[in-house]
Amino acid sequence: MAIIKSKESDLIAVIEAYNDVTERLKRSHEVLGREVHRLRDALHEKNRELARHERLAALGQMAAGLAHEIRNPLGGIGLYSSLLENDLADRPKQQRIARSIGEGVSNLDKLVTDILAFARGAEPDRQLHRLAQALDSVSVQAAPQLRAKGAVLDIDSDLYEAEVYADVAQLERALMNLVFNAVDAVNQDGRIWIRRGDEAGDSSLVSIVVEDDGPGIPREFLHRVFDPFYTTKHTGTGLGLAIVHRIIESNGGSITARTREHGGASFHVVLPTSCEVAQRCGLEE
Amino acid sequence: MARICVVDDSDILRESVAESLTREDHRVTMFDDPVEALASVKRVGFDLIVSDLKMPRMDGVQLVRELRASGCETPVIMMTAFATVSTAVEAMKAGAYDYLQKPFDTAALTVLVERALEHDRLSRENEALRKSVEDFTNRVP
Repeated sequence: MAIIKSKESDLIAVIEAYNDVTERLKRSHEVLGREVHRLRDALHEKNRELARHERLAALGQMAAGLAHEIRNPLGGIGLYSSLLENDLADRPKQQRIARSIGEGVSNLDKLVTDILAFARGAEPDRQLHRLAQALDSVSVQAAPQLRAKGAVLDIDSDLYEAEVYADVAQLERALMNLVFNAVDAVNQDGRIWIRRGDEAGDSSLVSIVVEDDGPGIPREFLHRVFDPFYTTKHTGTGLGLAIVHRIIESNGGSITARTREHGGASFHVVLPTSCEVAQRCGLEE
Repeated sequence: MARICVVDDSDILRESVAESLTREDHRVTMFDDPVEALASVKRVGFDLIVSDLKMPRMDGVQLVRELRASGCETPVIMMTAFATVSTAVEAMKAGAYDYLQKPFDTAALTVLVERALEHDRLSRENEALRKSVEDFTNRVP
């Protein structure tokens, strides 16, 4: 009898052990499944990023030659239109047409300038700076557009003292483009903020958020906003945000576009605060 | 009125620049080939050269270098589609007076041309005065 009981308890122990192993295998399988899913998503995202980089590289090669070929005839048209404008001083109606041609030339030239800025992807001259210089410059340069729209730009005073390891001229341009983009997006009397974000985690990175209370970006388009020539606006070249992305990446940072919970768009920029961090990221020799 | 040489391989730009300068009463000679322009400048002599930066056979910077190497001090204004700091600095180092970024209007062209001519005139005047002073001091026992 004792022998049978002993065999029963052995069997129960074996079954329990089997169940335990099965349960652990099941949990392990679930964990692995989630990991495979995460890796597949990450791979998908990297592939999309790679495809975007390839598109940018192709555009870069084309842009310089294209700019030269476009600016030569553009220069001639611009000169002839300004001569015509002078000739038609006594015929205001015709003079307006000549002026419109000149304005068209200026718009095309702006497109060429944007393409060049985007395609050049100039090697940044990274140094340690306080953000104050870039922020002051942005608030001065954006003032006319803000006034025209009756919009208000609030800059977090905490950011002025923050330091960033970047090319200050490029950073200014990136922040300007983000603010101009926000000015275009907001309604009359809209609001735009530049504040410190919380993505940085530690002091080796600084996070800058530019956000507005405009209509925001539909979620399905968020992954496309940094693509060159992608725009939802009726004006502009569609290169403003692509230039921003290019600048932030070449300065060793990252940028993401989001939709704010209570409406509006927000752009989250993360940049290194020291040369050492950039070196860790493999950005410096 | 000044004698101005315009060098650009782009027909529309060369002709529109020439038209603008002719209307300002300058006498303009056009070249689509910088090598021909170089030979003519050495032979004829001009008061000012307005040249494209990027051209086949010889670029604008090389054109200025060749001119300066031959002793020709005619001021040169460069026209460029890529007005980067580096190209501007390179052109200036080679001896160009200034540069214009395409596209530009007649006002920008005229102002720069007049300034270059005035600068050249003052330089020559200054040189002549300096020489006079030297001659005078040499004559004084």
